[in-house]
Amino acid sequence: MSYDPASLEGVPTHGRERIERARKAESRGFFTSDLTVNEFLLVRQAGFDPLGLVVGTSIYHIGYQQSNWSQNQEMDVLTQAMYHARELAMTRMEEEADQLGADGVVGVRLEVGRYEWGANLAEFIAIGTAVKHREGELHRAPNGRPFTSDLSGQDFWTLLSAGYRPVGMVMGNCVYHVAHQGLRGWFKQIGQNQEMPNFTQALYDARELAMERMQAEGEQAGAEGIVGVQLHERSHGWGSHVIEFFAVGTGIVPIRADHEIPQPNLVVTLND
Amino acid sequence: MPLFGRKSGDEKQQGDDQRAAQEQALRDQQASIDSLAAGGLPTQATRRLEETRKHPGMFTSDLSVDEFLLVKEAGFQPITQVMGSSVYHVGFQRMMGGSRWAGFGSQELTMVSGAMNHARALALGRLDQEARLAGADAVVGVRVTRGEYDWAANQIEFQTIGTAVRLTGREPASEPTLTNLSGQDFWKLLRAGYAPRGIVAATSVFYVAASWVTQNATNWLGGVYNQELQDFTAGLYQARASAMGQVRRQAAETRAGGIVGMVIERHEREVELDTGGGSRTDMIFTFHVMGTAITPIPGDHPAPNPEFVVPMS
Repeated sequence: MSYDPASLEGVPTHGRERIERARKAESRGFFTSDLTVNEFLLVRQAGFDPLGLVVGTSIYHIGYQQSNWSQNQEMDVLTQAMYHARELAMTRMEEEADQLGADGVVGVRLEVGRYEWGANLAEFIAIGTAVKHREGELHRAPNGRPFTSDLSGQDFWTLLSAGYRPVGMVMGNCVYHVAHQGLRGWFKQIGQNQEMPNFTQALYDARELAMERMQAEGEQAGAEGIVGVQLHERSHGWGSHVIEFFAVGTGIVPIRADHEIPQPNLVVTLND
Repeated sequence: MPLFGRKSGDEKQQGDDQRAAQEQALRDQQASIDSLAAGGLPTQATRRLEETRKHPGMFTSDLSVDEFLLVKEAGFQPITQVMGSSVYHVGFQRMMGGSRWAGFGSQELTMVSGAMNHARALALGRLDQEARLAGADAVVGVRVTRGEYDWAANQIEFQTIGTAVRLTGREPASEPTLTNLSGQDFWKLLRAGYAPRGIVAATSVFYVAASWVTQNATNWLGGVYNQELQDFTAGLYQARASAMGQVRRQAAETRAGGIVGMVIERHEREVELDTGGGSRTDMIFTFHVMGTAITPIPGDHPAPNPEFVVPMS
């Protein structure tokens, strides 16, 4: 997908006004953020200043795809729709960050919401805090976009002090139709303990595809590795036989050769 | 433009390609199902892991940043996420004694616990096979989740997922060691001089028929007195003893010195019965237990002295 740092496509009038105001306020050192106090202090300690909360959203109509009743298969139309919608939301958030002159976005949350008023609609929301390096060191992703990361402020600080930096969130998904079992199969298993290889294959393959796609995206972004991978399973109202598997994590690259961390000590926290 | 109903050469070629791809996908699917039926891995997973082993460029992991750094500190390098899954059909439990549920005391529902234990073993076995393919020394942070789906009556899914790691600069071990400990616990354990030996896990499901005493105690008349329901207490103890006994035997087989990181889940379900002229309430107790068997590493491992801190997280 093409990326234009100056683009405000899809951002409503109020959004543009907000960005404009935020940019003016930036010179006075004012910012908004959804960081906690600890996260704020650690992000600053890592050499970054928060600039403002950035959001990208996309309400997407998810098309219909006919599935074969008795067939395990990927619903590629739905897979692409879900992926594209997330990509739109992420891109808009990155563009907003660029408007603020940010190097990247930390603490990104990527959510899918459904509303009663739209049966085939889903809202994809990406939200995070735009940050900029104080000394102007380059921290962008290789493709020129601001870096994104779903790591917390604490994790961000820890990662940087260990000689790594995030390049971008990487994701992969797969919408899969699980076959219905025929009557003959049902009679064969009645009253018996046994594994169901066809169901196992369906769930296994779907997860495998989602993870493989995420891995490919990480390789494309030039990441050395992916940390904090989460695997979500949801049916998004398609009925119980159609499931989306969504894998998301943060790709990281080294910023120096040694990654030694000081030997940790055992501690007792004084929090409850 | 081609005439109605007749395809140009290109279109025909395209159609043929598409059909061939579909047939290939179906063949792959069947091969996967056959492999799974024999307790193996689906073809897609095997392919991905062989590829990862041949071209070790990038790692994937569901380790948090802290876990990632600690696992590295302990001398390990993450390779890839590995997983296993098994969807399992639970058979119908035939009860000893005459009519369904009635007329007998407590007993283990072996059909149900057997199904859970076998499904979990299959899912963990596949995770182990994936780790072997990836050339791992260990799998850390293994999570075992149970799922049930609307589309599958009487079926359960056991899913396992974890991060395969290998010792930096050494030939991989012949058998990867599985552990459900987090990266933090893994590091602490190694530092304190213990090595994980593997995951131990068991499920037991017990049916307890309400005795006369219990029935009287729980009806409107008996409700006045305080008294222990001894049959339910005993059933609970039996279920727990059975599950714990199984994990203890598993740990003994690996010659472990102990079990840590124990996760115990308990569920109970009431069964309402019509006894003809009345009704009674029986109970089904389920215990799931899982932990990591550990063994001491020979040598001197001084215990570190903890400091006091106020954390920033």
